Amino acid sequence: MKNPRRLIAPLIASLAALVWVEISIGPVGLSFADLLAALASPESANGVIIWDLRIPRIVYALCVGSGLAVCGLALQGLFRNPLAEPFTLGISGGAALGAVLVLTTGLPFGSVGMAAASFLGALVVCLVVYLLAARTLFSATALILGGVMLGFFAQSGVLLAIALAPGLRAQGAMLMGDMSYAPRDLLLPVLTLTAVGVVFLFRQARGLNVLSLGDEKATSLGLNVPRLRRNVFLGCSLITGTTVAVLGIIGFVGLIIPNAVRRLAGGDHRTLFPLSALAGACFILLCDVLARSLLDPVELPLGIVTGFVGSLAFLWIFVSRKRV
Amino acid sequence: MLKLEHVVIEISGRYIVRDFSAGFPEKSLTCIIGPNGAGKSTLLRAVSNILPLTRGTLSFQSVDLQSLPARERARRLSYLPQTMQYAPSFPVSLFVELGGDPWGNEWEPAWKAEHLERCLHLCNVAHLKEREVATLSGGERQRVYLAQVIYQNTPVILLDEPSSFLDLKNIVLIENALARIRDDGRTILMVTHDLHTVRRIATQVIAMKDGTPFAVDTPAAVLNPSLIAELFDLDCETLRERFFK
Repeated sequence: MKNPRRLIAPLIASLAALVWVEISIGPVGLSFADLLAALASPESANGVIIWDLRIPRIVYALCVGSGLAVCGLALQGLFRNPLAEPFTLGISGGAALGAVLVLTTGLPFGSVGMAAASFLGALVVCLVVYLLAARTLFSATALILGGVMLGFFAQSGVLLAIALAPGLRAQGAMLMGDMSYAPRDLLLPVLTLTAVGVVFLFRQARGLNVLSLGDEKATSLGLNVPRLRRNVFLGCSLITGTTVAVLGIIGFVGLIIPNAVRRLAGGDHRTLFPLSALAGACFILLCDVLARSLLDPVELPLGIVTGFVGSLAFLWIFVSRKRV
Repeated sequence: MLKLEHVVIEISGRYIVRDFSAGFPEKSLTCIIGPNGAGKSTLLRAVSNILPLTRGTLSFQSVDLQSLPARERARRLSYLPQTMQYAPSFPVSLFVELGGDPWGNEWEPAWKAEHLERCLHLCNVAHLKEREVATLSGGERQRVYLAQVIYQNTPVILLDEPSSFLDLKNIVLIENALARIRDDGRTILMVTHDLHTVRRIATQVIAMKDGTPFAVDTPAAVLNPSLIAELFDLDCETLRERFFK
């Protein structure tokens, strides 16, 4: 029998190791002693690098990695489709479009407005995806095709908005998530909102277990299926909206991680949620380490790395597909 | 006593069940038989809260089931669909335990463990406890589904063709399990096409045709060649040759 417990220790160890690597590499290499000294004195030159650049980056990585992995798991459970996740369903695209529309129309809401618009954009796509899915009787292929097209539509909208507003060139990063632009002052709101979303989705684990028996059986067990669906959409929109508004679209985390964890740990969402959160954080840290070191001194956008790994994983899962 | 009074179910303009009334006492196993499309499964789905009733009332021990919250209703009625669409990658023990979901955390852990063992043994799947449901054979799977329904521990149990597609040995295993829980004081309603099963374990038979009860009686009374022939629009001779030699 698959034993989820034996995954916990290796995941925590990997996470610690990756945090260590992420904090020490960079243009200014730091030894363990340097690191301790820098952590102790935030005012020193190294202290500024650690506290203002590298630690925020690590926290963002943890938010995106665990947040998106948890979204992917919840959406896969909801649609009973292993290919569902915020990116393949177009939810990330919707979030990016929402954020960019606020930017280009110059509405004076600042980052709060961007995050709110991003959340709404994600939510709208969730609803459209659901209507599409219901119309095609939840055919697995139709769901993903529809989602990818919605994402494409939204991303075209983003490109159009950028083309029409020349000042926004830098926002091209929106489409290919990039942690080097991540503003430090939004760290706490992003951390809080992602944590709220993650905890909220964790609480749907039991419902998702029951739903894995099919809608009819779940209903006969007293599960309120529409409420579960609404909760998953809200949680995923909150997490996706927040992370996309700040870091841009980072695809495929939500695809790779839950599928990998499910293979090793079975189908119980109560254990899959925490394990996916841990594994997602590890995965994004690893990708970010690669993004920063592969072509050193050139730093790649994180989205490129996850895009390469993720699209291949998508094809592999698609070919060897089993029902969730 | 589970009571259906003047139940009507309309689905997109078609009346699938029309004016169905019947009562189902404790310690009874009622088999619902009848031709395909007679409305048997629809009736069962409506009783189990999946479809709304268009008209009529549904009560258990004088409590109106339609006005109960879904979870309260799931503590009174359990349902086994005709086909379970999905076999998630759960071990059998966890899968069966999902049947206890309507009870939240109300069960004592010790009783719960004992109850699980009892259900697994009753359906002869205790040896499969650690296996994943998706890896089981059709017969094993059906027995696991039944164990889940029994684990739900409801006074009323609704089963939609629990033994179709099964070999003789599995049919007998399931019949025995059902006879046991019937004698525990449950009310069982079961749609079936297997007239041998009806003869072996039913206490009451409802022959259903065109959305209404065509005959309601003991198995011995309903299982007579002329009634069955009329129910299925067969000629009496063919039927006699096949079933009543």
